[in-house]
Amino acid sequence: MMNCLEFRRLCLAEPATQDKAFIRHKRECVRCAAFARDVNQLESKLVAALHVEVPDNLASRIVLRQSLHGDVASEGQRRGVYTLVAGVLLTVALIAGILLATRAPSPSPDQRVLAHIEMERDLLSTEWDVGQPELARVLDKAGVELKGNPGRVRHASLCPLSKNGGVHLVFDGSRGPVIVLLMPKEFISKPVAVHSEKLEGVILPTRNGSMALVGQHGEHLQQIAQKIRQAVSWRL
Amino acid sequence: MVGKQTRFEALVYALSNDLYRYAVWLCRDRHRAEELVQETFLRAWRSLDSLRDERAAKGWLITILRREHARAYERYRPELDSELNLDHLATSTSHSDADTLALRRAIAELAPQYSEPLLLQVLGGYRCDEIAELLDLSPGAVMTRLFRARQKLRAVLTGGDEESGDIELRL
Ligand SMILES: [Zn+2]
Ligand SMILES: [Zn+2]
Repeated sequence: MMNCLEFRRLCLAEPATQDKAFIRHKRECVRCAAFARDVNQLESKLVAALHVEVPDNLASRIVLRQSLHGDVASEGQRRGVYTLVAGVLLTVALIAGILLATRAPSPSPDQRVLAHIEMERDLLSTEWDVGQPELARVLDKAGVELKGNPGRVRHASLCPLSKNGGVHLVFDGSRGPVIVLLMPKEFISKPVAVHSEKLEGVILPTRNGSMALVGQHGEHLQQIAQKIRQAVSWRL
Repeated sequence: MVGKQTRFEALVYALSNDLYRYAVWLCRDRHRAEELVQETFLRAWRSLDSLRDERAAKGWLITILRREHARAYERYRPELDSELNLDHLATSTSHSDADTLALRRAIAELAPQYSEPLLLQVLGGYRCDEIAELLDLSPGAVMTRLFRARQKLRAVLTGGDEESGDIELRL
């Protein structure tokens, strides 16, 4: 026979237990039955407290990253990648116009940047400030050292799609959020303009790769680029 | 025979949400949680052949994730600014009552040895014996930790201290 103390210990350790003695005790002991009801209430509150909303296209992004970086690419596989990328993106109905419009086997830098931003569009809805220590931590992974204050940063994270330690930053522009992508090892020889129906931007060379800034039409992107350049130094 | 890619995608679609929620509570930061989950699945892909039974997949992924977390934690020890990060854990859209907020705070304050079994049980749906195996502890130790964790959380809601919980337990 299970006694009341044993019942309550088990109840707190494993409220959903199917133990026979436990179930019998609950039927026969009024006070322990009340105790169990109480614990079950706590349990539903616990579930509510632990609830976390999952980003929309988490699963697609995991599959995308695996298809890009899962293997040390063998021949043939690499060719398949862009088809697969396009497939994944289309499934989530994200970049319909971008990759489809251009049947190029390998998208140009500006197309890549736009596709990337579409893929990570939840960045635009982030609303909080990033402190200097967190900013420094994230930048460090992209080979960038933070030396000064680049102004208010609403978001800073490592790019889950990048294998070279890419970083996303979101700044407040004059017309809305401005997304900055730091792309180490993605070298370009001169600035490249980025343009879509809703967004415009520029990709600039940096010492260790490139940096894209994208915002609404008419945004003062050079000002933000200037602030970033003044606040950081690039490691090679 | 199902192809490796199909098998992998099935795991991702079935388990990435659970893994993400677990990761958010483990590192208390949404962005780091996504990094952690991405890393976990990339590793899982590379050693997918070692997974024999799909039913063991979730535990296998959790083990990889915990290992990755421990490794990242060694390199970078976050200041436990749980106050700030906690508000970001839930979304601004979800309505939270006072109990939920108090519980969230209390869970964040639990030492990892108490919170981890609790997360595995409530978020992962695992039984005590399964948690014992995942955490490499005895079932008795897991029961004790879960029992104490809930006792603390109960005390938060009833406004009492743990002592009164003990008295109630002693009848
Ligand atoms: Zn009883
Ligand atoms: Zn990205």
